[in-house]
Amino acid sequence: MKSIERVIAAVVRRRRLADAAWGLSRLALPIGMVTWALCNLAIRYCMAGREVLWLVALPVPLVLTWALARRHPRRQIARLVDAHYGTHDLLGSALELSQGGDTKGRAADIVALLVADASARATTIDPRPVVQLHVAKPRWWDGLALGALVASAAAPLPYQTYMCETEPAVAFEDPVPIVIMADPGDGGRSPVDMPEAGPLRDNLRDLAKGEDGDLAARLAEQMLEVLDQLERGELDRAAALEELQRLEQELAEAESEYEASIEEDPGTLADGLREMAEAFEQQELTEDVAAALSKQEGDDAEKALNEAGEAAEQNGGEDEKQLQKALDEAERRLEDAAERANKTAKELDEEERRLRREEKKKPKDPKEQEEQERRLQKQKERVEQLRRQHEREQAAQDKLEQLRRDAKKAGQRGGQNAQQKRESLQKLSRGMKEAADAARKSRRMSQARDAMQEAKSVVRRAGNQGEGAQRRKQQFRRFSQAAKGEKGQGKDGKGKDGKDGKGEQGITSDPGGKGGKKGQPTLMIEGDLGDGEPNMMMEGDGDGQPGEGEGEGEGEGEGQGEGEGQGQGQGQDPGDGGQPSQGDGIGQGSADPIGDPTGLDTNVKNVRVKAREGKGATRAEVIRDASQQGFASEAYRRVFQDYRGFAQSALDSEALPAAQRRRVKRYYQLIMPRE
Amino acid sequence: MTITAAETKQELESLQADLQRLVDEVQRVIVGQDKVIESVVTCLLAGGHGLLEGVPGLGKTLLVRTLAQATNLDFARVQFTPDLMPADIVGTSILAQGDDAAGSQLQYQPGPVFSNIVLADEINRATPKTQSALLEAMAEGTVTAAGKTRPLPSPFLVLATQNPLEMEGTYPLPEAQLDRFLFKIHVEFPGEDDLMHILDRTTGTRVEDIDPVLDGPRILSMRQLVRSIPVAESLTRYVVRVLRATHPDDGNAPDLVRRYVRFGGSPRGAQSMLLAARIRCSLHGRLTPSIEDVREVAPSALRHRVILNFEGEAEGIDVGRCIAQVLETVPTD
Repeated sequence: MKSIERVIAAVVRRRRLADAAWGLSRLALPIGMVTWALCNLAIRYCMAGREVLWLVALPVPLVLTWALARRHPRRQIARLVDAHYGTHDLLGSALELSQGGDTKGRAADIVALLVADASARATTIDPRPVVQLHVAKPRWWDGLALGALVASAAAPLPYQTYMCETEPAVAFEDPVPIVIMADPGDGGRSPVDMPEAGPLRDNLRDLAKGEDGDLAARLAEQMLEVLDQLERGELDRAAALEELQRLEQELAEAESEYEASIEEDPGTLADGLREMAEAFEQQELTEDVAAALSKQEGDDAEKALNEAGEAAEQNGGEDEKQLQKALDEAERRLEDAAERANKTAKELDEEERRLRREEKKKPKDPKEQEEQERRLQKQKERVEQLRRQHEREQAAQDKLEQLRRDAKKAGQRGGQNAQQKRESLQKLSRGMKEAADAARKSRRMSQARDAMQEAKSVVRRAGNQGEGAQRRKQQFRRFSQAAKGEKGQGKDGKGKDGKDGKGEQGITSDPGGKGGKKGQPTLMIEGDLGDGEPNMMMEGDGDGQPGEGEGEGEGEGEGQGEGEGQGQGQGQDPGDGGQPSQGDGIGQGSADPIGDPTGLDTNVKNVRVKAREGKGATRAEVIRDASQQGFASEAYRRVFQDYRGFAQSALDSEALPAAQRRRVKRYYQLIMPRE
Repeated sequence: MTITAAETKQELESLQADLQRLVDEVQRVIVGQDKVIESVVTCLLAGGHGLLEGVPGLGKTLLVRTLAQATNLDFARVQFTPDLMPADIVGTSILAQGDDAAGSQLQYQPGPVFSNIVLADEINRATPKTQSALLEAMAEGTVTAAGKTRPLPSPFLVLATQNPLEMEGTYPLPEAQLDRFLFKIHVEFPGEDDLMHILDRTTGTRVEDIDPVLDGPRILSMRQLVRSIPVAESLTRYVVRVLRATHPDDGNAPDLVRRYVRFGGSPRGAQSMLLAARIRCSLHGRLTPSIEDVREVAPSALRHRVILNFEGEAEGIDVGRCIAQVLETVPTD
């Protein structure tokens, strides 16, 4: 056994040496260099004494102590030797079994044989190759530590270190006073950075495109003006807020006036119009009617329906059948919409019952009477409010019923001549226009209210400087880039010179100048495919057409794609021409995924996708991919407006506590599309 | 009777020599397949049973027959088929004509299971009822038939074969019965050189005669001796850790086991590993087993005891991979 013990002790010694070598080269050296660098800095800048340099040597004794104190179980060491010499655990088993002591009989004899065998083998074993001594190779952190040391040595000495006590003090002359001159023109105001106002401006510009005399449009323009003035520094925040409050007051008055004037519930009308739009959408002949109705463009809808009627009358055959089908479907859907229009009837009954119960109660004392009167007053107001809403719903229901009858009459087969049919159709289109106008007015009022809230919020946050604001700004930019699918700046339609040009299907039409040459518009097509309604988005490189800008490079142009698709695009084009033009575009295409031929000179890429069976992507993967590739911000904007419209009609028609109303409004503010 | 250390040493040397002679004798007929031969000999010495799995034509039946000849033991081969009945294996009572006074009597006719070495060829082709007839024989070494329990000859060894390719019309062995096998031995397809030798030996006129090198009593005494080989406690602990790591809820279980294994090995798996490690060290002329021995025998001892979950089955995970990962990850100390 002694020979085995001797081998093991020798290996343990080698192991400790190896540990020390490793610890000194891998740990003590870099830590020592970093400590040295820190000591240098402490001596130079913190007036520390030179004694702190002793700390540099501290890792060495620590590492040596660790190497000496580290436990090395003999069994492990024996296994190490066995593994190195391929002795199949001979030494380890002999060591372990000889110390067990509870073996008897034949097993004890075998153990004795084993120990003898192992001892004989141990005498031939050289422990040195078992544990190799080597200095660890330099790693990157060694270089880092060395760099830190060099940098600390090269760090400039602070002013105080030059102030040797023996040197005479230097007398400085009084410095020339610096006078800050206030700018008399702007009263000391400075331009305010408002990175978060971009989406709000877009909304306001959209809203400002209303008809003449439309309050929402006028307010939108004024809000835009306030934001611009604030940004240019012509207004400070307080003044801007004051101006917005004045506008809000004006809006509130207009709202209450409008509230008193409306006879039909706009939410119910909007619901009916939506149903009609879906009905008209099913036929090719009436697609334009559907498009106008879904946007609540009353004039366009009226015009489109009259045109469809004329086309059906002139062409007959298939067109007439399509119109017939569309009107039948519209009638059916309007009937359904009218049936479910009366939402508040039940609630009104309930509130009236509660009011009657409350009135029957007899108070016991004056205090309770006072309390009851207060409750009764509140209850009566509530009932009155519900009654008004109920009446409006009924009026809206009647309106929808009237539309249904008109649709039925216009769509009747036989029994009336062409003139009568035409008149019926015109009556229907007029009714449709009135309903669309009413719904549109309500929606615009609501949009103005939301924009007002958002504008106030933006103004409150505007100009917040400092690190936090900077961080928020950077984060906002990152989100915007991610949402647009950009990896960096200068891609996907962000040119250097252009500004917010708009064109159709990625074409920047620019009639006045010489225009840009080639851009890379992104074409996105949404369309129905097969029985379902998948949204398909195709992305491809394209060439922007040469265009000419209007005014000073802020161009706005609209073109018409030659296929069935209609789209909107954003292009960028300098007004003076000669610069590259780039644009984004979003359009609605036909059911054919390839689409009808258009005038676009696009490089279409056919991509073959290999399907793979499996569970599919997880929610986390979908969200991650979407965040990396970008969201369809334009589609989201449209969806958002639809959803907010629904929510708004629910808020208008249902009795909800004020806190919940605020919460719903706040929610939609938070998920409002950004840029 | 006391045994001296010198006698023990002599016995061990004799054991190693006999084992080597047995292996050499079998290798005269079976070309290559050294690991398979070693595993089968391990089963013989451990008193366990072996399940040989491999495609047809790899010499599984020949190996067992050769082993029986080399050990001078009774050999019976049962070809398992779907219509094989339990009585065809364990035996049945038949009406035998006795002397005049007694008349006819029921007389028990022993089945093929009453042999030292039983080859259950294509065991998974028989119905579960017939398969289970072997259960008692394998576990207890006895057979109960016609209301009477009869001991089987000793040594008793069942070597079963199954074909992994043909699953149509088979009845996979239940886990309880699989657990009775000491080893599940994969018979690999021979390499090019081995195939050359096989062709050379089997297509000519030469016929190898097998000389018996052992007998039943000698095998029984060898069994006693290998069981007295001492094992270090650290090795026993390692065996336990390996076995526990085949269970998905164990702390040492590697990723593959956690993800694809439903149940790990049973305690019989640990017994098999340790016993087989003892035999392997004897086969290689050593006095005590090492971790290497355990690592060598673990796949054969565990692959039929580790049960994959649905995901593992669906993904086509090889149990061998799980066991290999267990052996890689389980710490030796």
